[in-house]
Amino acid sequence: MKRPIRFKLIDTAKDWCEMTRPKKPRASFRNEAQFGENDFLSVLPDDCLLNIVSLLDLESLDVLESVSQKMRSFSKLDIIRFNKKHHYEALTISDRFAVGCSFELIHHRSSLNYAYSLVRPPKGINYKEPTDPWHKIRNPPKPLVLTEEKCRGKTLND
Amino acid sequence: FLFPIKMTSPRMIKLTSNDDKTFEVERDVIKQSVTVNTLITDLNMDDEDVSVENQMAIPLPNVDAATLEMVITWCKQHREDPPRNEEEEEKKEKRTDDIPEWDKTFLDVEQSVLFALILAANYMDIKGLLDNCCKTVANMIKGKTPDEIRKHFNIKNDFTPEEEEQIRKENAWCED
Repeated sequence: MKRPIRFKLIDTAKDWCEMTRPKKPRASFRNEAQFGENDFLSVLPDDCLLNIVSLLDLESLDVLESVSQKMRSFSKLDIIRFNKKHHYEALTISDRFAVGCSFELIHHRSSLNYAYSLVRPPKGINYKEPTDPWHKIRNPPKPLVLTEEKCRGKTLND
Repeated sequence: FLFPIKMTSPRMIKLTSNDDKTFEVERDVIKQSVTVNTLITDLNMDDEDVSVENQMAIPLPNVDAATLEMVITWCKQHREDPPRNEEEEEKKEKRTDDIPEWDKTFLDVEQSVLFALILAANYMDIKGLLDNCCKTVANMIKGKTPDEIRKHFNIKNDFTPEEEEQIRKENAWCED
């Protein structure tokens, strides 16, 4: 069965700004977080829990998301997911869809799929220096940006 | 040409748990605890003139006797370990399959004990013990479904049915 992969071509400064903009705060939950009587894991201090969660691979983090509110809030942290890789069986690098310096890394795996875009911010034709406040503060662009995006929906393979 | 051989007994340090039990432990053993080590240094407790009887016990208000005993046992086992290079450790890929066999057996305990050890190791700043405890917990999480994780750790499902449905939809694309 083909896994859905969403391709995202980054060929303008606007796309690049959207991609690297900090994410909106996540929606809060209706119930207050609840902890079971012998739930020693959820009541650990944040630094200890962070230590444990940081040892998990992306597959386990994806599972942990749906366990409870607290587990979800920790497994979603960018600092936890940063620099982690799925255990892929195969990796295809394609330049078929290349626009400027952009290209895609396409992963094939039995259970999960992520699309990574290795992007060099386009210079010249399509690129304008971002002017919004966030970019002024952070002073990007950096030469290369590796982004990760959970893929849903149809793919170019479908 | 006979020289007198000075037999020196190892320097001992007294630690008191939160239930008022005092343990005597060798200085070399407890140096693995950064918290205790810093206290000893700051309070000049390495002064050789002070006998262990007259020495002030270091209180550990966040650690009970049973846990402290386990912590000391772990420190004794690992006293010969080379000092950790934190920078090197940070660079290394984080793994959970490299727990030494002795530690695996030592940490094969009830959850209440394991989590008490995590809290003690965190408080006493014993990085090696904390790492191995956290790796043990991470191994318990790996390969389980959300329901199995909840059951194993007695975690309450505090999502509303709507939120649960939303999360299920979010992750539906990755289900087989």
